[in-house]
Amino acid sequence: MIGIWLKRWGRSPEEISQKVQALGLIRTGQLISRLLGKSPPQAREVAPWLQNILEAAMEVMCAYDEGMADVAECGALEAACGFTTGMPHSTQEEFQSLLAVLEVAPYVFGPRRKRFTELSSRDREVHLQGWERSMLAPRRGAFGALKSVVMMGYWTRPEAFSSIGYSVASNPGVPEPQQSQWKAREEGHNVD
Amino acid sequence: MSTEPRSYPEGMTAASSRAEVPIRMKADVVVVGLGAGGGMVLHDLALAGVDVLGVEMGGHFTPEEMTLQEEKMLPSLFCEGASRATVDMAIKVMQGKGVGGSTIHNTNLCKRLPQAIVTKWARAGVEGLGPELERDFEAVEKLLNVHRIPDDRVNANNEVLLRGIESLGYEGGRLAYNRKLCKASGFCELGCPNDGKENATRRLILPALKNGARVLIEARVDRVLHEANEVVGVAGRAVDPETGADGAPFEIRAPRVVLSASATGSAAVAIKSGVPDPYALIGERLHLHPGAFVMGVFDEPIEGWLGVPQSAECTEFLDYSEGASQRVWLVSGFTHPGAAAGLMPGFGPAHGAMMGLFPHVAAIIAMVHDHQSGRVRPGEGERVHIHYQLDADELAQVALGLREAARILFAAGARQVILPTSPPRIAEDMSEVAEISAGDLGPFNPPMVAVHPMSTMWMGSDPKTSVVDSFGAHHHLKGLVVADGSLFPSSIGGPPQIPIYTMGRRVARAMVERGL
Repeated sequence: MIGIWLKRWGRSPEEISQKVQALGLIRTGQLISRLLGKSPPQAREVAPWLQNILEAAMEVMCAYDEGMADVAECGALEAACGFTTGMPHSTQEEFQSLLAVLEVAPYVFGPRRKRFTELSSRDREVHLQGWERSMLAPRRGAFGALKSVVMMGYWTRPEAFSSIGYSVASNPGVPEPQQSQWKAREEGHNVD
Repeated sequence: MSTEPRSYPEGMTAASSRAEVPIRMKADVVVVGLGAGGGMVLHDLALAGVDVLGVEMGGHFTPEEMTLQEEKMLPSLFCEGASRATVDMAIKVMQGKGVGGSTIHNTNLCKRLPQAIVTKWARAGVEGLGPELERDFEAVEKLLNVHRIPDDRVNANNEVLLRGIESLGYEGGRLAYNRKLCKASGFCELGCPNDGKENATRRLILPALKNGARVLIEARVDRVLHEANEVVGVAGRAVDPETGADGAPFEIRAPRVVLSASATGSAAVAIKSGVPDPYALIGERLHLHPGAFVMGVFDEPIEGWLGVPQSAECTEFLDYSEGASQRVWLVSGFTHPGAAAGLMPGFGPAHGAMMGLFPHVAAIIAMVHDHQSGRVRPGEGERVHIHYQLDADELAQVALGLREAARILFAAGARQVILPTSPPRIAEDMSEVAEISAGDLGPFNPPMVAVHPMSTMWMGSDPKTSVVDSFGAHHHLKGLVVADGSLFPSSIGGPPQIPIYTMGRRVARAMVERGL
């Protein structure tokens, strides 16, 4: 159904990208939400279905090897969502709309006509590379926004620090009580 | 969670905590935005006995509240939750908010206006740029405890830059800063946990409060109110510090309003307010100092997150003259992992492998002293629309900066240099990056960051070609004054805080001398 709708809406990625811009990102996000029967983008709370899309992107964007913190277990998703809630409400709605667009974008940009969250890890990676290297400036801009949020969510987790030799607790310039709080965080205790 | 009301220094109140709706206040002068320029005006007017009220969109933070958590402090200390960017999103624009503005999160670099820039502005009709400006610079530097950065405060990341430029015979060296209680934690950009900065909060705003100034925080000014071509006050909304939601409206009646909400914020408020602008100048001529990061990988640990983040510069390619072919300021730079990961090219395993090199990475920022300009327009709430795209001349400067930053890193001993171009260039020697030119670059290639918005309401003596006079008074609206980086008629090619503080002093003095 989504594929038919998109085919009617535009014949090429450029045409669809232009329509998304003309319609406005938030209205596009609302439209996709309605078509999928999901709750629309809204400020101050990222709906579970949108969180799933963000997590699916995080899994391929932050993946490395066994020595690194697991995206699903280190609280990266919560941190990323928390980071976005500090933005103006309209920016939050735009970011969530971007996630909604990402969910259906594979129907247009490939590599398979499936929702983003239903793609394999490899296909999600290929799809995101398409955003990163796109000739369409808005698509590259959207990728930059997604990457900022994803990396801010993952690489601020104390669980991720040890894999890159970074530590706040061992920084001699950090005073109390921050030093003790960070020591607890880096030892896996929740002090927030 | 504690439900106790937050306490603030005497004279400071949070708009969101006030019971009356709408909030109504009065003052002789309202200062909109409490960064370097606004902080100085608030301070100097308070000490002159003026009934002055500062209004700040952000909050007030104590050293204990600087949690050092990137994902929490960046949205608290930066406009639009650290998401501000040009409309095409190709340049991230990082601007501070809160009591102290960008001086809360900056790295305290201090330079006066270069003489070539002063001469250019004087030729453009700005008055009072002779000995009196020098005296103001001296007084401001004394007040803010500006001094040369000591040897023992140069960390490994900055040593790399100094080593590289010495080896190449390039001009540059150690900078000056305004710090006193600094413990070299390296968390400057997230708010100092040691209160080590001699910034606007510590040196100007808190002393102003002790001298009778009032400050309203978590209050966003949306409009300057004016009637019959005279300012009568400001109006806006309280902002909930937890949710960012708009709160109660407020209105402050005052015959004088000082706009000091930055080169983007001040122009946006002026445009929204319908400030008279017969020559359509407000918001134009925006300069940004757009910059790109270049990273070098070293065998030895650098751990650039430890110590004072910025203490060295290279000025070999920084020519301030008109039509200069080299306009790049090279300065060390480093960020903590959340922001650094966003700057590293790519994603997935290759990106993760690069992050594994983090402790061995040194970074240089290539910042362009921009001759081209963009424009700013107001958006909803605190949002602004920044229209700015690098043209071929500016891209040539970016390319020059990338090449020379790489050369310095190699000269300092880097075994590899990472250029965040698209696709990324990972070079083992200089020959692999020596040919980079403007044609290889474009929007998002490389990703750019700007931290110095300037101009948009610039000074001058001719009302047809400038927005305000040489001391900040608006040419067409009585009672409106500007005191921030908006005043600069051009890019300045260096850290703007000392020139902004100094302009604040000039503006405040002129107001007192003119009887406000």
